[in-house]
Amino acid sequence: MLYAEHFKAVWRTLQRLGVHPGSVDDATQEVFVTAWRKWHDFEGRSTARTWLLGIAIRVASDTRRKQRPTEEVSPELQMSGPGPETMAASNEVGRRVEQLLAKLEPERREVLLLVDLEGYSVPEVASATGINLNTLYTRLRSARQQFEELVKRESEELR
Amino acid sequence: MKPLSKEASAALSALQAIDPTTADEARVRRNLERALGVVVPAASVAVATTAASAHAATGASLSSGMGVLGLGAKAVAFVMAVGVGAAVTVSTVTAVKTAPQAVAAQEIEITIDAPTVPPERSRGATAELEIAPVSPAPAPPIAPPESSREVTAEPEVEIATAAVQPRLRAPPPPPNPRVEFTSAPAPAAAPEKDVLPPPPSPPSEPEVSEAAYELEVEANFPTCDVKTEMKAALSARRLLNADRAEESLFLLGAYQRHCPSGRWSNEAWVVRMAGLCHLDRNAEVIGLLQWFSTEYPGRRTAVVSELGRFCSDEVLKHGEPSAE
Repeated sequence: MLYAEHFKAVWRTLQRLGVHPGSVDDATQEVFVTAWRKWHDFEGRSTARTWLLGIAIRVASDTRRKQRPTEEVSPELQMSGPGPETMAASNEVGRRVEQLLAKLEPERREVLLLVDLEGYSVPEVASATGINLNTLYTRLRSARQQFEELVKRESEELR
Repeated sequence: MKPLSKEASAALSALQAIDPTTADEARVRRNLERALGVVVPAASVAVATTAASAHAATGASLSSGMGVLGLGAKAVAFVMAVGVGAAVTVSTVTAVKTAPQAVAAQEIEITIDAPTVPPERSRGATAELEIAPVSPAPAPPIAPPESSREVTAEPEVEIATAAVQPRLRAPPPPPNPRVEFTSAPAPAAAPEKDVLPPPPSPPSEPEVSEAAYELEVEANFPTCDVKTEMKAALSARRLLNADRAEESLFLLGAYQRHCPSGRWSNEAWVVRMAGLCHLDRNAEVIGLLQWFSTEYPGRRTAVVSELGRFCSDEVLKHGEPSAE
C-alpha cells in the first residue's frame, strides 16, 4: 500500500532533491526497502507520506554524495521520456531554471522545491527533516524572494 | 507568508517533467520484490486520464516558463502540440488496486476469509485476489531446496506475474503449541509444481507461562485482518525486545497457526528465528535459516544482519543454504 500510494511522489522527490536520473531507480528502491525494514519503528506521529519524505531526504543526500557529477542517463531511461524535440525545448527552459535554482543555497533550494513544486507543507518538511518549523519558514521566505529576483532579472536580460 | 509570484511559479513548474513511466514503475517494483521477497502491488503512475493531464500540464507549464524566460513562440506551440498528442498514445494501466502484501501493508483494511480463492483470477479484479492463498497444505515439514531454486531461477517471470498466479507460498502448517519440538526440520517429499514449497513446520512451543496463554486468548484471530495481524506483529516484536522470547514464540505460533498465509508471515519467520536464538535453540534456527535463505536469497543478507543482534555468528554461518 505504501509503495502503491507513494511511489510516484518518492520518485519525483528524489529527483527534485538532486538524485541523478540514472540513480533514481536504486534510490527509490532504497527508500522503500528502508521503510519496510523500519516499519515497526513508525509510530504514526506523522503521516506515512511525511515519514517517507524523511527517508527520501536522507537517501537523496547519501546518493548525491556517491554519484558522479557527470553520470550519464541510461539508454533505458532516455527511451522512457518524452521525444527528442520536447526534451530539447523543455531542457532549454529547465536548464535555465536549474541554473537559477543552483544559485540558491542548498537548504533554501530544497525547501522551495519541496513546498512550491512538490506540494509538501512546511510542517510536513519540518517533521520529515527534524528542522525547526520557524527555521524552515525563514528559509522558504528567503528562497522565494531570491528566486523571484533571479527570475525577474533573467527575463529582463532576455528582453 | 507571501506565496511565490505567478512568474516565478511558472518558471519553477517549467522544470523538466520527471514523472515515472509505467516502465520505470515496473522496473523499480521488480527490484523491490527481489529485495524484499514479497509481491508488491503496482503503483498507479500513468492512467490514461492522469497521463493526459500530466502531459498537457507539461506543455502548459513549459509554455509559461518559456514565456517567462523569453523563448520563442514557435517552440511553445510545438511543445503544446506534443503535449496533447502524447495524451492520445498513452494506454490505460490497470491493476491499480493494491494487495496487502505491499510494503507496510498494515495500513490497509482487507479481510481474507477464504483461503481457497482461485488463484488464476486476474490482478485487477479485487485486492483479495492478489493475496489469494492456496489451500492450506497438509503440513509438509520442509521445502526441498531443488524446487526452491527452480522457482527462484526465474524471478522475473514469477514476480511479474505473481498477482495472477497461485500464491507463491504455501501456508505453514499450524504449530501445535503443546507438542515438544525435538529436532531440526527434516527434508520433505516432492513439492507441488506450481507453488513454492512450504516453509518448515513451525516448531511447537515449549511450556509457557500463564501470561502467554492470555496472549493466546488475545491473539485469538477471528479473522486474519490487517489490524489483527499488525497487533500480532507488534506484540511479538515487543515481547522479544523485552526478553520475553518464549511468549513471543507462543504468540508467533498462534499467529502462524491462525493466519498461515498472512501478510506478515515472512517477517514472522524472522522474528521466530530471533526468538529461538534468544533461547539458544540453535538447531532450529539453523534449519529455519537454511530454508529461509534458499527461499528468499535476496533477503538473506538483511535477515542475517537483523538476526545478528540475537544469534551467534556460528549459528548464522551454519544457516547458510546448503550448496547443492
